Amino acid sequence: MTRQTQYGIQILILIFLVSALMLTGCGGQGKQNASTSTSEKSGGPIKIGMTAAITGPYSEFGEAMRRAAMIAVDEWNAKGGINGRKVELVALDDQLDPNKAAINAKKLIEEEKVAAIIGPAGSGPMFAVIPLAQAKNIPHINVVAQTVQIVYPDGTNKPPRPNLFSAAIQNDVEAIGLAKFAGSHWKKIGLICESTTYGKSGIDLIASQLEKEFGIQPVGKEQYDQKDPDMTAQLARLQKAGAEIVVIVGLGADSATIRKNMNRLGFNVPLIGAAGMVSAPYKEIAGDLVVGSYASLIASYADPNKMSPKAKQFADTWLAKWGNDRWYGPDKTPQVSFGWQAAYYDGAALLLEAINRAKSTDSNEIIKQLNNLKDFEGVVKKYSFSPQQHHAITPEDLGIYVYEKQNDKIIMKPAA
Amino acid sequence: MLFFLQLLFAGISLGAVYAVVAHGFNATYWTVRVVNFSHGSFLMMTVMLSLAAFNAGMPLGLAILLGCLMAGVMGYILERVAVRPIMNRLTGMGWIVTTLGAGVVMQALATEIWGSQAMAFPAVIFSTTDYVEAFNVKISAQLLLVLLTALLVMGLFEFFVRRTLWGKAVAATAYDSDCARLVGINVRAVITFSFIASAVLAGIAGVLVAPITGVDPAFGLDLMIKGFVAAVLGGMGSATGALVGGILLGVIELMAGGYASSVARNEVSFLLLVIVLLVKPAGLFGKRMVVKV
Repeated sequence: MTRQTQYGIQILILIFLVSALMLTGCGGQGKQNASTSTSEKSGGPIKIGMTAAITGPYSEFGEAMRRAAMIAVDEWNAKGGINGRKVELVALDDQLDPNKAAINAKKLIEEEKVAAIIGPAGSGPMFAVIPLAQAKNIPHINVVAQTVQIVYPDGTNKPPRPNLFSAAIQNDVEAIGLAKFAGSHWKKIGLICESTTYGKSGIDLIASQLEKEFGIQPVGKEQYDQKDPDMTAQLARLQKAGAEIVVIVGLGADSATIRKNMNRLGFNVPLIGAAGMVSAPYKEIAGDLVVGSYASLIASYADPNKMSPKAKQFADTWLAKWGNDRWYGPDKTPQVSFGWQAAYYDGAALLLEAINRAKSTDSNEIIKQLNNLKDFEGVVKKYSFSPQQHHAITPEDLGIYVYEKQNDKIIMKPAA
Repeated sequence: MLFFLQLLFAGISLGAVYAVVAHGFNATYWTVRVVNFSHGSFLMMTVMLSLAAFNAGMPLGLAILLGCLMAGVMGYILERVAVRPIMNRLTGMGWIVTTLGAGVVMQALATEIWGSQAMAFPAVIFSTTDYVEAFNVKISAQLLLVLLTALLVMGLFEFFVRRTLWGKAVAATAYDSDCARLVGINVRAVITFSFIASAVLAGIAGVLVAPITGVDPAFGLDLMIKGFVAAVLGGMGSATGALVGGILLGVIELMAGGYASSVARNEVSFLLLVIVLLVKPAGLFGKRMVVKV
């Protein structure tokens, strides 16, 4: 055999290896914060399980979930616990890996004997945890994952999963908010999303909402792969199609690349998006170019001078416990995106309240109390659930914000 | 026409990035026929280390120099730990796993130290909104800098291999390391040197691209794969090939994305790879080499 043909075969093997590696996803080894104590007898602590991306690419969500839940737990413990029992958070790291999340859930339910589970911090691992939690009828709280089918497996007009309650922003809720704003201000709308389930399902929802409410067909629908250093081709197509605004569903760093490419193309129309547009990477990488971009987010911290007392209290507690971390932001008052952390906290707080009302850690009792929850005062809103409705955040809790430059500082203001 | 030119120029700029990465691959391929699959992690590590030094208060230039120096050290360590022991055993393909493994280790390490979120990297020489205008199309000055680097590296490499004694030593080592050793070439030094050079090149590529995209621990992985496709397309081991392959890949990608669909854009590079391997495995500029195995 000549070296040349062998070389060809080698290359093909390499490609296979590399792609296999990428598919399985290689990340750092997770830290485990598992506690060793086990006790389900009364008098021992009430254990709340959490599996979330505490390290890895999505720690932005998972670690924030842990910090927010810790505050809720601390508050109850400061009051002497729930029904005389201390509350303990057992947080395991899944790095958003569905396999790890499923193993964590099993560990939490079978070994740690937790009373309820919070998490994971994304739709993929959420779907990996749901079957087990549902089969064991464990009260399950979702605070991050946005896919509609997590709460309503057969669609929003059918009953929700009996054991799962959500304080997260559902995709359809977010899409309504984004589409409403885009559709009422612009006619020629370009759509772009990352080539993941999150991106594609999100953009489809926005497209159908635009069609339904405004009769608008988008002038273009493009997608890109995460971390592409250049999105010129997609954007040039939208530019050619005459888009007056670009709606994006994707992560912050990619949104920044898109914003920069738009600038280079002289394609100076606004960009509007959801979570990614408010994240630190978008602001840091795009720099001054963020000015004029729109983002939808939970409105609790829209105006630092107009926080509700509950919101102020939560922010102060966070600052005292965790300091000016990347979620709180560098200033005395929390950054606008801190609203998400409020929802994470609310999820934990309403669960603990339900356990308190149940006066036991019996699953059925807790779930019954969650179903009966009416006007529970959270940071984001007053939460109410019913056997037919297991999500709480509505388009009214979200606001559209625009980046502006004021005295050399970039701030977010409510959009007109 | 404007649409076409926009795609063309963006493609060339993007291709230059691929070309610089491909140059890095070539450096080690020349000497030991090893493709360093932790190349992407070298890009990332250099950028991360430079950023850490910069955030600690070091001037940016110095921080980048330090980052590239550290990349060189890591290249040296990689060769000693992950490549040399394998080469001695003559198992042939072990280096694929060891270099890949080294990359995974570096990525995990970076996640532990710096966290996993994307971070911004300060502008190097040009700000990201500095443009050069040609035919009514704005071209990113930063990407032109990358193109210039790719050209410069190509020139240096071609000169080095064809005109210098060290270059001949490298060629000899690549062709038959045993014979090279017999005629008095310090084969080990040549190999070590090639790994250091490759790592430093990775570092330079990383630092040039990071201001455009930001950096996170997975930074470099996709670039590495595209750079690899570029290297194969141009002909593994050819400096001219790396440049032409990179730019060709960039332009084809952008054209496919612009004229066909954005879904086609990323598939096209792998399609290209398969076609090249089937039709002309040596690549555009690669020399056919028949070696007894």
